[in-house]
Amino acid sequence: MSVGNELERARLLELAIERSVGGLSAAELQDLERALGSASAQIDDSFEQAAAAAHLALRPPLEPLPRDLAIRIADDADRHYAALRAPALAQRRRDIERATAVPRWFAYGGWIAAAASFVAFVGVLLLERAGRASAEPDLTLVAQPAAASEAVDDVAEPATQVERPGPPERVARGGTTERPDAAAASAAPTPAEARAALLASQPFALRRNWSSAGDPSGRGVTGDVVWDARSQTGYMRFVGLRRNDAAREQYQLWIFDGRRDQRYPVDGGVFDADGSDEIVVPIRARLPVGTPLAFAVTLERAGGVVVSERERVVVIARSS
Amino acid sequence: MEPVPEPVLPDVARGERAAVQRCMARYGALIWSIARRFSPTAADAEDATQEIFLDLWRSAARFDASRGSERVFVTMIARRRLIDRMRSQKSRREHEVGGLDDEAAQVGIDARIDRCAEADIARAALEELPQEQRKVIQLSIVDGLSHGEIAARSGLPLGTVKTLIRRGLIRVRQALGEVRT
Repeated sequence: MSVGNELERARLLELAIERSVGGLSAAELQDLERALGSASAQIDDSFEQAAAAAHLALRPPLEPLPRDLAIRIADDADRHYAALRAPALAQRRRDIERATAVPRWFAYGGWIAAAASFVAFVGVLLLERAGRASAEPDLTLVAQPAAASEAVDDVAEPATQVERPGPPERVARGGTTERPDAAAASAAPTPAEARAALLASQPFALRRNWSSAGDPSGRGVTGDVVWDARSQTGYMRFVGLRRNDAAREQYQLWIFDGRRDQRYPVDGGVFDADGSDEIVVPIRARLPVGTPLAFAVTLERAGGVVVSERERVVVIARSS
Repeated sequence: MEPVPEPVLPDVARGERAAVQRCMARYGALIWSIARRFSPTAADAEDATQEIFLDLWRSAARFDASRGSERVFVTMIARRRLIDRMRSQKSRREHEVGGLDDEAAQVGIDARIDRCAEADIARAALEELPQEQRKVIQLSIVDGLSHGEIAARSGLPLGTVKTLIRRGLIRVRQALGEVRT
């Protein structure tokens, strides 16, 4: 090897070591890049590995990852992989739409369009009245319109997450929710079991306690709400929620999403309580929820509403 | 020694959500702790940690278990990002670590936590070094101090600091059997 090559090699070695400990200035980094451009050999990362191993050998005690930061990182991961999967998902969506277009649009298209139009109309009225958006959740309960490009059934699991209006959750005694048929009952976990499994498998799932919101129906009610942003699943647990007359009124969940206009919370589904000491109810969010700021349960007329008058807010759980 | 868990990065590379969760649970504290040491503020450390995890998602497919442990790979990704950030920010944090005699700088070689084969090898190699050299390496690698900062704090000449670090790293690299010419 020539003297020139020896010098170049020695310089590369020096730069590699300095790079591994952050000792390179911007100018030296440019030197390294130039050298790499002219040298036939690629500099290896073995000094970075050595520094990493030494770091692990020397490092001080660990600090736990802050919970809020963990949620943001998980959201970043979701966005990252969603972007990677987007082309495949688009094709999959086209395939599914081809297979199901007639019955789905026939059955639900009109409902979605009507709901969106109605909500948009109400939204305009509220905008005129409010003048400006509030920075905090104001419990103006107007459901978020379901844009076609954003509906839940556009994401990865269309077979199980199709958005459709359905019957409310019927809550049975003993903290479980009745299932529509016996076969499913033997196979699927109860909401209480599913909630426990979610908590066990998702250490970063959001969990907040309910607080009474002033309505007499919420007095003494305790429990919590659990929400996993990654899987877009969650459960409400209530202790002491009074039985509702399902023919006249029903409970409805609203989710205030920090990534949406907070005047338009996401409809989290309608449900009933049977007066059991403790009940667990799955959340049926009609839209993807990015950053839940608050969960509010109201009492509405049977079947639920698109726009809540917020006359009877039962309980609230704020996420921060 | 506790058993080394199965690598999670191959599953992360396939975009498996559960693997992402396992990866965060397994390495979240490690990455966050490194970021805290290298960052001037908690907010800066949070930004850095998010960037590191994004780098990890992007780099997961490059992990090769035959070249080293997953923990070292993750640490390398984290350090690389943090060093880039420090270089680009140009303004260094006011390090809270003191001189060579301070307790903070004497955080020992902790054999109880975070065991992996390379860390054990590196630990053995570092234990053979003089105490002064080991402290200099710690200030550089763990605390992220520049050579000039270490020289100012230790009273050692800048050239000596560079030499101690360089020789120490070469020793660790040799011990790891990673000598490449």
